[in-house]
Amino acid sequence: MAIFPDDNELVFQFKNATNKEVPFTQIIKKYQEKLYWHIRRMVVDHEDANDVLQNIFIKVWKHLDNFREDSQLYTWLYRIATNECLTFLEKQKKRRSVSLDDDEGIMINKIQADKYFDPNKLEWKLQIAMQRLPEKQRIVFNLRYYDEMPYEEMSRVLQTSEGALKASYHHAVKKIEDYILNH
Amino acid sequence: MRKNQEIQNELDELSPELARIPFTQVYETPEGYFEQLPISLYKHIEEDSTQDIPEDYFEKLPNEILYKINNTTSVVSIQKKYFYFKIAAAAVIAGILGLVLIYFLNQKKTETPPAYVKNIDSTEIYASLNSSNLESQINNLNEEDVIIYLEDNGHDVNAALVASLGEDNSENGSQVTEIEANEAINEIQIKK
Repeated sequence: MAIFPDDNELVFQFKNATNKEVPFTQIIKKYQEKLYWHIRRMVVDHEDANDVLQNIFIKVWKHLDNFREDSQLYTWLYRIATNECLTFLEKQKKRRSVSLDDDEGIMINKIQADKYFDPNKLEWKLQIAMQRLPEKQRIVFNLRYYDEMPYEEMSRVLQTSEGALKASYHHAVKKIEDYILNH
Repeated sequence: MRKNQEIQNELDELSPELARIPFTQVYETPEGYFEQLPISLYKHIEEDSTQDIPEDYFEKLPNEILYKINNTTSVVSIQKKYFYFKIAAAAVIAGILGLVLIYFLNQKKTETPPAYVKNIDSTEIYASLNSSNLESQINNLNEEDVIIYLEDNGHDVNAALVASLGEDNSENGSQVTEIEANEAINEIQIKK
């Protein structure tokens, strides 16, 4: 496993380097997998996840020079990723509203179309159950369950109170449990 | 396997069912995806930078807007346009309705003749046409009346007389020769 410099160091290098590609490549390599899986669990499809991820890093490249460092790079990246995900899902919804297709159904179909999909496995049932959650609740569940993000950090990413996030996570867990027990 | 014990404990407490689900990633990525990502990303960044706005874009923008404002043609109100459009549309609709009405009225006329017409037998019409005194009335007309009528109505009197002579003769099964026609014309002119 590669060892990367600390975030502050990476930001400093990026801001002061003549060749910004070196520190930026380090940032990409440090965060690409975490951000990819965060996005992938939200949008399901790999191509969509790839598009969203590339947009995120393009935004980071453009704005990192102006990053004020009053929050951590990690928090800032997750905030951009979450916003990009929500924007992407919103655009998809608008497109579908013209064809009157059901959003939830489409996402579940995408999961079921995966070549490794096994309806009997709890891991796959969990993915379907997640798609049945409201988008923001799904993000909270995703960040807590998979990214193991502390509520304090999550509060900075989503700019929501810790109490509200705890409540949201608890609701999400109960809904998922209910789905798994009944399907 | 979870790294954060606090989150695992929270889950155990909230939902033992969910806590026993293996903590794994179900989705796959194409082979070598993460190794290739920085390369494809720089390609995108390069493409994207060509779409960036020119350096002095915002400095020039106010002057460009002012130039366009001063050189634009007068703006036609959309509301006014719609007003004329509405009138034109109403006229077209009224015209179509009128034509449809006329068409149906005409059709009604031809389709439903009055009851008295329905009762007339076709043989009766034929007989009445044959027996009418129209033919006898025409036969009773003297030549002078015919000539006066034709002169009043601007027809060639001579040609008409020649034609009527031809008709008379053809009834008798004979042909009118040119000489006979000329004689007839001369005779009429002498009478005049």
